Amino acid sequence: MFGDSGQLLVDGIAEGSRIALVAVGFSLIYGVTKTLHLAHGAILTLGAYLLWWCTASLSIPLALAIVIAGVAVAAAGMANEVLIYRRVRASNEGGLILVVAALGTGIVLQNLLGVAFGFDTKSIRESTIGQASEGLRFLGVVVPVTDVISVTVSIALFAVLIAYLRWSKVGRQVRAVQTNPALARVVGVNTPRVYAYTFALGSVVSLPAAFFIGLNSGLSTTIGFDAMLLGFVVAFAGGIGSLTGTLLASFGVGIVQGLSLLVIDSNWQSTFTFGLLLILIIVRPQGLLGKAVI
Amino acid sequence: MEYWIGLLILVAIYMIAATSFNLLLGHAGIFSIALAAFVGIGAYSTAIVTIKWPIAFIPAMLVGVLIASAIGWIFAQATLRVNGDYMVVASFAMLVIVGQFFNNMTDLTGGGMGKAGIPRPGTASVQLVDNVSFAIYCLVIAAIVFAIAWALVHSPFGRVLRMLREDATAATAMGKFPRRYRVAVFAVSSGLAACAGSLYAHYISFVTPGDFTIKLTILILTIVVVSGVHRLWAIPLGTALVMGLTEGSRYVPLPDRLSAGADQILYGALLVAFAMLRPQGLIGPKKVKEKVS
Repeated sequence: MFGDSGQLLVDGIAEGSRIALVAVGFSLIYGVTKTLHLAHGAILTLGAYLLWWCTASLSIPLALAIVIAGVAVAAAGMANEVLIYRRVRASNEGGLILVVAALGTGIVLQNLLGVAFGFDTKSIRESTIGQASEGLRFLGVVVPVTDVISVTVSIALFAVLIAYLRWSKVGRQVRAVQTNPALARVVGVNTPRVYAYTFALGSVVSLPAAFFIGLNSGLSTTIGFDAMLLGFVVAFAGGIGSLTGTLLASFGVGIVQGLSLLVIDSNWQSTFTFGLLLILIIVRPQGLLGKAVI
Repeated sequence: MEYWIGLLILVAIYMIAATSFNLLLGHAGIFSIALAAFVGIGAYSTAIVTIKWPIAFIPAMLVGVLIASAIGWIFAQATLRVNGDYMVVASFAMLVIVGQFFNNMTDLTGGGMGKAGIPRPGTASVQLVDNVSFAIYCLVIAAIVFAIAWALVHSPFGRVLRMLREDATAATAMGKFPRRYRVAVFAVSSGLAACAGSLYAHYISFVTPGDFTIKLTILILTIVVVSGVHRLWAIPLGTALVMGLTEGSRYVPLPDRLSAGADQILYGALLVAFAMLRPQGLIGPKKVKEKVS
């Protein structure tokens, strides 16, 4: 009995870390630029495919592949902002047309990846970290080593990001734009540059998510989009602009989703999770730790 | 010839869905990804009642419309306390949940295998089994739906909607309670979307959960954006254009691996291009000034 729920709890925590890794970039980008960046999932998929392509086809060592993929997704995120979103914002047609552009960008990128690399599911494991090890065992619970790493990476990433935004010069500029764009501009912050920078940063932090989700469920063109759905609902539920809220909500959702299998069939898991998040957004639109808005 | 009739039927069905979406996006300023879910609710409702009972088509369609409107009303009542990007997020959740219902309520919906054997509409004397009469039937219903939407948009109710979209604070100050109007238009739009679903179910005679995913929402969104979100009257034109491009692209000799994603790339590219270059849609001046009188 304990074994079952213990295993579900451990799996839930690992799932929570993957959700957190997706949500962090989305939350950062939305918090600062108020852009519903629906292409975030496709950029995540781009990172995953590049990791796979560099290691499997080009036989580049993993460390170098991470650097290459990191630079590529940062460039993709920044290009997305500078070439598309910035121009749509300038046309002053309201926020919804920006969502249209974001959705369109995501669909094009996601399907181009399918065209380039094939729509079949690929394994990212062999070419990167080799066969799965036994995993750690205690009290009848199996903890895969990659799950331990994914949880560690997610918490470390949030800590580094929060510290970076709080204490670095660029981080202060980003927070200034987030709090009050007009005032930030008046005191000399280059807002367009901060936007571009935020997109690059938000895209880079999706790379660990790409890797761990790829390891967990295999690589296909829709992994980014599916992960993003949950990630951005979590980002909203945690409170936009609050990275701590995002982290808490991610692990909360992962654990609740994992333990929900004790009482419901796995076919209904998404209904349960999304239903819960829907209720949270309805009851508390500002999110768990977000500030109330009018 | 048969091919063109089939295409005409699809154009009529997508026109209905696009009209429903245009009411929300263009006139109420609500972006709901859940459109495909409401089309699906209409399709499944009709399929279930017509297979089970010898019920005429129009009542069967109205059952779908009522169910979809009721679900839309409840959903909007709950979520339209927030609008804008929050609504996009909430409607995503809605689409996922409804999709799981289609997949999991096997007794009712046939599950992942879908529901087959949906009869064509007709009475004992007149059966619309041939596609020509069914196409006429679809066009008539499309025209009725279009007329309903047109009347709504040009009524005082439509004026309040546009006022809410442009400046909700000012509208509230004038004594208009935003949520009541938005919830009402959401319910109407959900019902119209269900009409499209009903016709689709009768036309294909077979529905599966895969028919009502975000891909359908993206197709309809593309039609609405190409027509111009504020331009209800341009929808027939926009539908014809997008469907023409979709069908036309099948005749371009593409390698297999490319053709798999071709439709979605086309729609995505149209969305980006129109958002950047012609946010007002295919025709007309750059910025439409809405008359709020």
